[in-house]
Amino acid sequence: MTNKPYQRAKRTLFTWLLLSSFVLLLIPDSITGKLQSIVTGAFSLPLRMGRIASLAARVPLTRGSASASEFHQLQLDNQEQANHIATLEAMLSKQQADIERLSQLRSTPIWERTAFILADAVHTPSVDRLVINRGQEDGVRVGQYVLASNAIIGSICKSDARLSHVALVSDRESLIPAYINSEKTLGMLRGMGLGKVKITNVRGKEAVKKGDLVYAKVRPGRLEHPFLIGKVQEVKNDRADPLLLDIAVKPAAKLPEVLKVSVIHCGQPF
Amino acid sequence: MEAMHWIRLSALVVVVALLQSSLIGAIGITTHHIQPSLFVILLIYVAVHSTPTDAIGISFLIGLVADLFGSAVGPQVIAFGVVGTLIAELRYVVRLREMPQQMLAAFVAGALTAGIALLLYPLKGQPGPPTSTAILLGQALYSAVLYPLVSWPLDFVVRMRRRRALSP
Repeated sequence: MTNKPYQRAKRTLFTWLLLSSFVLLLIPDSITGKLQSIVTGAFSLPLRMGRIASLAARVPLTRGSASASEFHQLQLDNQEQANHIATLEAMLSKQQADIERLSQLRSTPIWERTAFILADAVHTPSVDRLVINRGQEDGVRVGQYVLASNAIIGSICKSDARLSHVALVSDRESLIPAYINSEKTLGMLRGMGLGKVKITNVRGKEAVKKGDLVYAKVRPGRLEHPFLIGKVQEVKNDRADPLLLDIAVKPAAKLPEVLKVSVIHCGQPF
Repeated sequence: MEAMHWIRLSALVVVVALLQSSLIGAIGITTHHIQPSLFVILLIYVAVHSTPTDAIGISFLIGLVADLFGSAVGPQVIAFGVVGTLIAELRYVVRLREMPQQMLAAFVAGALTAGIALLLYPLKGQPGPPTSTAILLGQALYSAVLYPLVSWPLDFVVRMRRRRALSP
């Protein structure tokens, strides 16, 4: 008998909390997202420190005479330079084609119309997402491409005043027009989740092999010249449609270890 | 539960959220980078060692903080709230005093919270974190294995064992 009022109070508490939770669930993401941004912004420093410590802990302890941190930095630098060279080669090839085609016309060099907004990765709400410490106040907009280690790692999917969410190329919502080696082999780069990336809609007759480079296709207003995304990891025929290829892509940047990024801002330079 | 204890618990939930969002990545295993959920461990600890009324409130609080540091607000509040309440009520039927029982509860709670949250993400208009059954169970198992190690320091921080009470 004495427990009855207590049981009733407990049930009431549970019901109210559950109803409030459903209200929270049904509030649009544009409103609750601001709340998340405030919390993430308030704790951005410990989150970032923790992320750096977490990444440092994953590095192997010994590698020859260099320290673990030096070795890791050299690996990153090496990867960054290789990616940069690959992008420059694609850029040069496109420029040469442009020069041949438009040799009589004068145009503004593409790099003069491109600006980069530097940002730090604050934390990763999921394996295929990244939160960066730049937002609309810094010129970041939804849809802009994001670079790390001189390769495209994803695009902005949500932007608040001071923070933005990056959908990495492996995110299931990520869909980027891309090509392999030359613009003749066009396809759509799709995120498959859990760090996996594929290119779809490439015809089976195209000569694609393991190790071929994958570039993001030029999109006026978003990307003024091709940028490296990754390398072809595996090629097989699509099970659903044997006329198409099922191409697995390995991103050029190590997505889980990204700490610094650049958002590509096309149009008016800052 | 007195106000000071609530403040201490709330601060602990925030610290757990910071650790879960950043440092816990360092102990990820396999190529899928399976990580334990400190939220689930805290949920079981609280559900087992506090009064059922307190357990209900704290379970919802853990879910809310998990959502604020996660990808969408809503799914985990409901998942943690419902599962935490279920575990607290389960104590009327099964005494969860032994460590293996609590570890089993952590495994079940880990799988249930992740499953419920995944079902609710589409209501928020989001696909939810990518996962598979194997990864989901792997995370629950990892949380269960880690439970004894984490519950020991929790005893010092929260000192809830002395307050244990099944009902008023």
